[in-house]
Amino acid sequence: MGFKIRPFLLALLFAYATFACSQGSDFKASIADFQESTETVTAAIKSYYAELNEYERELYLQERLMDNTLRVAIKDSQGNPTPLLFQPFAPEALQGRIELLLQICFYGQQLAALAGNASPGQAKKNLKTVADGLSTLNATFDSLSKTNDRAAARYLGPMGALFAVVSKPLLEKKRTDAIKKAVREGQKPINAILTFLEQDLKKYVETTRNTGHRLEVAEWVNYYNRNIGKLSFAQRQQVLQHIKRTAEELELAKQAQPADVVVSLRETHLALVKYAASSGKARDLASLQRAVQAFHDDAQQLVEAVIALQKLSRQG
Amino acid sequence: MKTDNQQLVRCIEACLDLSMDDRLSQDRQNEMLALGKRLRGSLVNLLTAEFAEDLKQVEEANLQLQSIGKKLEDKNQAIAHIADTITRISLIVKDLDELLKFAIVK
Repeated sequence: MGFKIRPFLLALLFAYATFACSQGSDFKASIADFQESTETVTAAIKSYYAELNEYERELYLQERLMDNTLRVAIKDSQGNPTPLLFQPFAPEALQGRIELLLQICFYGQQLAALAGNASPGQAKKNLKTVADGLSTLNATFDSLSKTNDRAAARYLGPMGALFAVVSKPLLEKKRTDAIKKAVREGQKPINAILTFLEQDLKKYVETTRNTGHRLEVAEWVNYYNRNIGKLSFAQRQQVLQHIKRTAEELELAKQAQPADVVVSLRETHLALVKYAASSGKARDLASLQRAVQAFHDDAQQLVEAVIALQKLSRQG
Repeated sequence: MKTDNQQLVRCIEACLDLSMDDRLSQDRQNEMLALGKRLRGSLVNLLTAEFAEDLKQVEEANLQLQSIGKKLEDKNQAIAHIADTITRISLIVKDLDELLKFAIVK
């Protein structure tokens, strides 16, 4: 997966448009850093969601590799569907969250254009695109909440509020005032969306990944101990290598929790808004820089873990 | 209404850790691994499951999970009374399977 997603820059760009001149290169560097980290994190989180069902299928097949008394089937002996063809997590629910994440990034991108040099006509057109995207997404989440994803209902309020912000005639007022208002009104729904995203990541991604990696270690350990007398030196070497790999995967997964990075993103966002609201006080710039740096470090750790996990997985 | 999935995660991790604990015989380790796998299967299903408010079975399952989770916190005791530990975990595995039948959203 390529890291091509553009960042969410709502508060940042307001601050940039209003105060960048007074704070100079420090602030610009923070912008660039925040932008880069947001792109990276968005891509990493997207990959976690996208791989949820595939991960369950891999675990199901590994369980059968380890235990020759277990059969492979699309339904188990009780008639329950297995992860071989059944997807435990509704693909449309996962896709909805991925699209929401992308939409938040797109929203930031359009506000960036508004804060920058985009012509009023182009900016208005772009904001209409954002509003259309949010409207479609709102319908998707509404539908999800009525079928197999009740948690989707929580997103509806903030998404509607964000839609209202985007739909307001921002360009009818003085540009800076319009952006300021968008920052103020957009902050609450964006924070709510990021909070729900954090909770979803903890609930779906972290619980399944953390227990899944531990299960993989346990299965290989159990296989080794059960068959220790039957395995040749070369086979033992091979199995021990699998144990080492799965143990490393477990350690990596524990180190890098995607929900923690979303918390860091939300805190950075708050620091940006605070900086914007404070008329660019040096003290608030320092707070902002600390938040951006912490977010950068968390994002880096997450991405390094994702890359290392993918590398280890290919060895399996 | 939801099951206490955080407590369930702790139980799964404890079962899997016991399956790799050499203070237990190989047969007991096998049993703990099997129970850990069953509990994780339940977790995957319960993450998306929703139950009616005040469903007695969910409340009972949560109490059971809490009680077993507490027991598994003390690994020495869990090992010292391994037969009882396995019986109690087997019971919650069965109950969680049954519980899914009451889910209004799966």
